[in-house]
Amino acid sequence: MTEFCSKNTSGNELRSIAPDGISGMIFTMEGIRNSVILLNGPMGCKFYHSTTSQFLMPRPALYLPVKEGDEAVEVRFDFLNEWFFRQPRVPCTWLDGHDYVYGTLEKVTDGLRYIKEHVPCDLITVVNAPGASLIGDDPREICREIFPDIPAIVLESPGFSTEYYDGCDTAILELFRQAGDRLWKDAVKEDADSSRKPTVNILGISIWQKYALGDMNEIRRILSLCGIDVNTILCAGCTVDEIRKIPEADLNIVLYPEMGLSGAKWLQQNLGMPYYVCEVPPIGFDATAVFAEEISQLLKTDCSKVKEEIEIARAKAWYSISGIYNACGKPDGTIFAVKSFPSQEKGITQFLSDYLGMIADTSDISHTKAEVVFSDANIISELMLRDKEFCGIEIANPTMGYVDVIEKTLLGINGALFLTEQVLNSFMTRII
Amino acid sequence: MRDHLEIAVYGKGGIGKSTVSANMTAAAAMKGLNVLQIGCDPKHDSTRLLMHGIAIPTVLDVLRDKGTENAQPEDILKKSEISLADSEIGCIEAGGPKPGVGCAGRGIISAFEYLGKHHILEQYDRVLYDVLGDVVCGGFAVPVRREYADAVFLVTSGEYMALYAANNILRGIRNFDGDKYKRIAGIIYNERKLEDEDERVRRFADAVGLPVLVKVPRSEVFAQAEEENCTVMELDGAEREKNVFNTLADLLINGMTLYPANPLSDEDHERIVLGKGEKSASKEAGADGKPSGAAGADELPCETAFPETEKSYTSRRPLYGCAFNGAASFSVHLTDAIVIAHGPKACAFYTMQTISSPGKRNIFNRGVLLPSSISPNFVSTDISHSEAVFGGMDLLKDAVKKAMEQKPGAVIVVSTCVAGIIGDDLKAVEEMSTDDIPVIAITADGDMNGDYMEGLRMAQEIIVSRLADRNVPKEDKCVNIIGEAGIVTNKGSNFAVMERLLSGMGIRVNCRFLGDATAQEVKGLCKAKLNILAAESADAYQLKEYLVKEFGCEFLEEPLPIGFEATKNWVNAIGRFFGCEEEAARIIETERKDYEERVANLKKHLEGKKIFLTTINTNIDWLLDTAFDAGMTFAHIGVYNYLRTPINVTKHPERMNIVEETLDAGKTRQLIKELKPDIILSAYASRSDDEQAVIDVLPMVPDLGVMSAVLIMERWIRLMQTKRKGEWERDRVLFEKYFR
Repeated sequence: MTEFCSKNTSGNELRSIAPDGISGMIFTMEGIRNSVILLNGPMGCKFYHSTTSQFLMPRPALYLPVKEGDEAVEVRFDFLNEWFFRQPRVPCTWLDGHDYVYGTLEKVTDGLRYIKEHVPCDLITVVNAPGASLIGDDPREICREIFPDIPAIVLESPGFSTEYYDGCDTAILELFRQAGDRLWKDAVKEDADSSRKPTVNILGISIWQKYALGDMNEIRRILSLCGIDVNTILCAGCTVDEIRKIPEADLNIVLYPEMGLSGAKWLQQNLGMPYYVCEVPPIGFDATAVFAEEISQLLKTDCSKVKEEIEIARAKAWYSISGIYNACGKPDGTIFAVKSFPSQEKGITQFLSDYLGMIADTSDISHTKAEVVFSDANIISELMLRDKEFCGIEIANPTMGYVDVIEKTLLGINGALFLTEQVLNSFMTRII
Repeated sequence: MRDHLEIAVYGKGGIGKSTVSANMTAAAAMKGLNVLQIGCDPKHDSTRLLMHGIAIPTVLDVLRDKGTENAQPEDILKKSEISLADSEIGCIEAGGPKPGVGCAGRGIISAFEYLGKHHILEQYDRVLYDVLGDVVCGGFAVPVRREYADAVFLVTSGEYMALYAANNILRGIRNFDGDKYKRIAGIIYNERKLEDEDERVRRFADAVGLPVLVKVPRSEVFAQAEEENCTVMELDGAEREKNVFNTLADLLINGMTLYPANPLSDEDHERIVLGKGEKSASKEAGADGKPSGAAGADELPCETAFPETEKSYTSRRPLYGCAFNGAASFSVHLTDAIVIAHGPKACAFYTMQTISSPGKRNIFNRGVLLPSSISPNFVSTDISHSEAVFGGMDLLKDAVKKAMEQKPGAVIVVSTCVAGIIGDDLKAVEEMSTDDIPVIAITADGDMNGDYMEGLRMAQEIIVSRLADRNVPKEDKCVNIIGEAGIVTNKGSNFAVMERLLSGMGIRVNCRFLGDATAQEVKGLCKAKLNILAAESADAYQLKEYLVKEFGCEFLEEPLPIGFEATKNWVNAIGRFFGCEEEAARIIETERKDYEERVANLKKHLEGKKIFLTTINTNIDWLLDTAFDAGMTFAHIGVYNYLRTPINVTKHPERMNIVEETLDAGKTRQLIKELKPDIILSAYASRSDDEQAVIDVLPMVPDLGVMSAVLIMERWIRLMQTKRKGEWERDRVLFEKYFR
């Protein structure tokens, strides 16, 4: 759904440096394994998504023949491939001025046919770039015609300057709307098997989030401690088979409502599945305890192991925090600012305020006087240019360029410890 | 009767679609159907008769004024003023921008998305779309998409252009449906009382295989209804006219036979409509090829919905990146300017990433904060749906005004493809220039005006032509550096090397166009007696050519030097130009001593080693020189020559015998196996499992000065002293096992 947005009239705050809805759509669909997204747009819209997607999740190499009949070579060494352009993710139709006048569907057709012939996949998505959506080209029929055997999704209107998370939410909703019939036409929930663990689906997390892989592991771990299985973490490394099994789960959990609530509502309306929305996402010890308690209550399981682990983690954290506190009186009273999407901001703010006794600066981020700023690298580096004295902690993409090999998390018990660790280290320059 | 049916009424502008639609709607409602009529014309007068002259707010006006989240269905859905006992008529006008601005087609798409979101259509038994005269773009074709229109009525008179428009509409529908679907209900013939009119319409109908459903007689009754702001169906009498609409209403109630779209070629259309002959055997693209007319609804083949046609795009080369990105990335190096991206924030974001990634890496790795690499002077207008539909000039002017309040050296506006498609007139903001603050428009229009490099060229030429003062007096011993690569991590260190060499001869840098310069420095560009090209790239040469032609700039033959030989020649040339040969000689001697010492050490380790090199088509003599100085040889030099330009990797003809064009990764692998090099050097590091060579990556922008290649080769020695091949390199098989 395209949105007419009210304008930000608050003046020259930090600039529009965040991605918008089209990136949300692309990275949401890129979170489905063994699927291909054809971007119906110019190459200028492709590069960022192709490069970034490759880094967000480990993916197998893509081999394609340079010419018909050739032996396949890794596509990143094939300079001439006219759809992939040396990047294995997010092929595009390289729209130019001509296409905006005469239409884009010829290239879409050929691009889809190429993918059909050379790149086996379980799901295909066409995403219109803003220019293609302006001229009103609708590749739905073509897509379904060329891929009659797999779910074919067309995201026709990516939005103009909408929020990243709106794109995620829309993509999930469209996935259900457009492929639901095919995926779940015979879906009948079997009677509860008493020996089977309760099972949930997780919605509302995106692979583009910083530490997404670690977040997913931690959520699975927490739920496992509660005796709950996770069928799928939707669009965050899931498979089409997992999506097929969505109706078999007992509950849908929406971690960040901005990115998955519409999908959960659709599943409720159309498949009768109940859903749980985190009022505050499981960031920090308290929110994690509430998350485990409420879900366990809904599914009649036991969350005592989570509570036990939280207790041990708090004990461990206390030792580190008290050491810093003795040296510099912090974290109590430290002013912090968080700039991210709303529910993550809320979760981090609550944790830092309630658990670490820090004080939230809720003024516009460009005017912040915070000592610690939690945000993405673009905001942090811009604030540095404004000669602000603060310590920047990255909680969102884009990053400064640090390559994470070990999976870290901001969620759950390990997330609470990791955030605590980063806060404590931000005080180090103040300790003599 | 089907529960829900949606019908699109198409025809040439002014042919009477709205009158026909309103009367058909009224007739159907009077027979008990709940009918929704949606006007899909920006002039929003489709429902005027149904509303008895009361204008209703359009969907797009409401969405623009209230925002999607606040707009309520009751704001746009109005009940007709016609009194009905058992049914209801709903009226909606999609609306659109003012003529000449924005994108009306996009407006239709947005309006339909809103209607879909609120499930408004499903509330009625029948929905009638009254659609703008011709299928001018994808947006106006939305009602005819199969998710909306179940059936299509064509309204036409016997006028040539009305029939031409009807045929065009069939083409539009054909594009959607191919051979597979039948959705045309037939022709509503709105009589104009022309000579031979009945026959013309009949000939056309026969040729396209459609029935003439009704003939709407030319009658004063319609004028009377117009005057009274009501439908004919509400007038007393007028039974002949009412019968026509009752017939149509019966079709809406009872259903209708549907036919496929079989448009005529232009030639056939002219021949048949003007009565000059029969339809030829030729066909419209995508038609079934059967001889003329009346292709039976059930006889059409269904195998191919998307026929093979000759590709229209194969002669166009793909555009790498977009002109917007190139222009914006270049412009931010005018450090005291504010650069405004006129487009959706996604475009600004991609460019921001291009600009700021090296800057962020510099902060992270080296603690270096380079303002232009973080780009504090780049903003976006954040075009939203409102601007996409209604035009973005007001938004842009506000952004320029706000930027000027900050007293920048200049304001530069760069357009994206969205701004280009909606037709925003970027040049208009140049009128906002003041004596102190020039406003410069770069109409890149995303990639509509070219690729990244074209955008770079546009920005270079437009900025220098707007800012540089040709009449500024020349100053001695100062130079300009022209065409530095903007987005590289070693830009700062390279400039430091070059500045050290220049200052050794008492020469200062006047302006770095546009490595980083203020508007004032660009204004004084012509002060420098000598200009030095920063690189041998195509864009740098283009800029040189422009500056020579337009500003009479004098250039040093040698670009900024990479490697010892180039540095020696460059310093000597500058010494000669400014008459400081002695200082130049001293600098060269010092550099030579350092270079020879380091090369002697290289030779101990690398002499006799064989290099296998693949590179893009740029000069690499700096590397070849030092490799030969160190006693190394080249097994093979392969050049990826994407742009099909003359091979340019060396200026020494005798070296060309080891150079070969390559485009084939498979062949490269085979050659490596055969030639067994000690060092494999390329733009991208990669190795197969059985290779034992040292692998290294050739930098895109090498370090300047005499040590360019030495530093790289010293790394090779270190690599040779290690196991050369980390154990990790064996683990690809594990990756493929666990992450497939």
